[in-house]
Amino acid sequence: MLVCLLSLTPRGAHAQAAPADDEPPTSPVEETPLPKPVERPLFAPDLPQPAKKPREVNALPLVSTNAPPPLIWKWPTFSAADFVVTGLGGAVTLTAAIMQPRPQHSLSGPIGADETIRKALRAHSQTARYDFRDASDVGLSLAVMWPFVADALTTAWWYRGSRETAQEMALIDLEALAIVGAIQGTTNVMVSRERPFGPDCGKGDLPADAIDCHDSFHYRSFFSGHSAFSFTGAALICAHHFENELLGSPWDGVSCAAGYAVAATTASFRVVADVHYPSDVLIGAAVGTLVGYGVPLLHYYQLGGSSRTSSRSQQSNRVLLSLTPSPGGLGVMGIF
Amino acid sequence: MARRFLRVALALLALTPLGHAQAAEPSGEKFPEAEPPLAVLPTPEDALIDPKMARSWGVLPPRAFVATTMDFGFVYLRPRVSLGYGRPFTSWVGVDANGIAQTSGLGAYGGLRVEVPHLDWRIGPRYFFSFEHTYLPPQQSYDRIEFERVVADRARTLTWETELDLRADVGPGRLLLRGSLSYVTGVPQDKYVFEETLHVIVAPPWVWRTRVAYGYVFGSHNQHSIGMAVDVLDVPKRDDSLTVRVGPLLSMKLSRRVEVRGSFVFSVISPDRIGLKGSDTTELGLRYRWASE
Repeated sequence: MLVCLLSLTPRGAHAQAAPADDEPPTSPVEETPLPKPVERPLFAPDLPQPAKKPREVNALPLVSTNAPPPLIWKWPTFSAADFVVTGLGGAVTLTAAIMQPRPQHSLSGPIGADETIRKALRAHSQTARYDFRDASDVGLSLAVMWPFVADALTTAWWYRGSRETAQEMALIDLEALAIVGAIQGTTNVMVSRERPFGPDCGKGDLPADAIDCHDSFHYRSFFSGHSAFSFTGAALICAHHFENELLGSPWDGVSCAAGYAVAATTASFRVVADVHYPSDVLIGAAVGTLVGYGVPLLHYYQLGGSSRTSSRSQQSNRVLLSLTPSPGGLGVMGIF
Repeated sequence: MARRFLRVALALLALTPLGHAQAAEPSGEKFPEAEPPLAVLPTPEDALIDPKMARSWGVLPPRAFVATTMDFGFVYLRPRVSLGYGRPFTSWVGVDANGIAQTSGLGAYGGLRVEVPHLDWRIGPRYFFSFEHTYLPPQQSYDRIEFERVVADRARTLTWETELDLRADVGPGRLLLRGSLSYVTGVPQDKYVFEETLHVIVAPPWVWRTRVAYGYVFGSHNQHSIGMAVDVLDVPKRDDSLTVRVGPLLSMKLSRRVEVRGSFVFSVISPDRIGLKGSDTTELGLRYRWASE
């Protein structure tokens, strides 16, 4: 369903550039004197245009005189329900991180081509596996923080001068990460799959008293949190860049591709580090992508709200989604 | 009694000058004659850097204040409360208290702080409970496998620390010189411990650290900086324990309250081979500041 939505995104329908007459002064704030009021007749098309209307300081890009026009957030703002969902997701994520996995293991050992791929990719020494694990931690940190730090704060706020867009993007990011954390953490605890290295504890170069062989870490293989969070981050980057046209073509596409490259590398390194089976990271990638696209697109397509600047022409080429009761639960209804 | 206290508190809140719902941004230009207190709760507007960086925190007269700094990122949370007299974040004396929550453990710090232009000094104890690491048997050096073993109780440390920062504008940027001295306690005899905030394996009690950092400043008000830092640490009771770390630092102030911060200082010389655990790469996130005004 969500994959279909992607192909239905009406390009150009949400152009975010402010109208030309709404552009900010092109020099830094202190060098731009406020325009004096100009009296002009009602009909004087040949007269010089009056000075541009000054924007609020909050809407000024601070990066350079050539910065593009400020973004305008045209979609509904983060609602109370969104805050509740985010809070619940965060609470479940934290609880699942503290809880021990179930003593009964719903899934154990490799499935499908897991073992073949694992043997082909796994680093040869334990030290090298730790190095790849560290590298995957760096990748995870980048993939998760990029939508906040680079896209929301640096690009939307600093470069494009819209604090509100930055705030809404960051809240959507937080909601998506809370949801994926809740799904991943709960699954981790319930499935309680042993890590691929589990059977090697106490053998070879992995001592039985290693932290990896103790505690809950040992049985949290399914599914990969690194993979799920990284792909959520990548999907958030893509969704926000394309919907808001943050940097314009081709840089929005480059940002999206870079996000996926980091996510894919991070996920792969989890297999190389021997802390996940390939099936763990693939499921994580799928869930992360689904949530990472699903949450922002539900916001952009006005789930349960109305756009601030909605117009009939915009409405005509939009896809509207809403939550509706359905037999046995809740459904998403789409109007195309 | 409690109800009476609540009534008084609510009445005081209602009487707060410039009640927070209507409070304007009390910048120096808009309120040249401003006198504190302007508001106790955060003002609703958080404009971008104002034309002359005339932020009320720095320009209003010295006063008693409460200030908070919240650092958060993936995955850490360090909320700090400061009570003091002076100009918040600029020139003040008082006490700091902050919690530390990260994937590797929980901690708390409290202490005295004196900050004046170009100088920032603090002293106080920090307690940390590690989720991952245990006390370590003394060794000349550790590799990752030796480091990540459950060989004793989970480590709990109480570190007494003093730190002095000196800052100066040099050329197109700012120079930071930092020195700190730590006294690590709470470690059983004949054990070493991984100090989770210094990221170094310590033979108690002493650790010293220096940092030299230079950041090129940019932005319309020189509010951002990007630069490099070099850290040198030593544990006197460990032989050949000199540790050197090098890496970039980033700071972007998007408003007086919101700042993007990044620190990626990797270990290049160390007696131990513990990977990223021995580097100071724990910061990639946001800082949110607020102070009464």
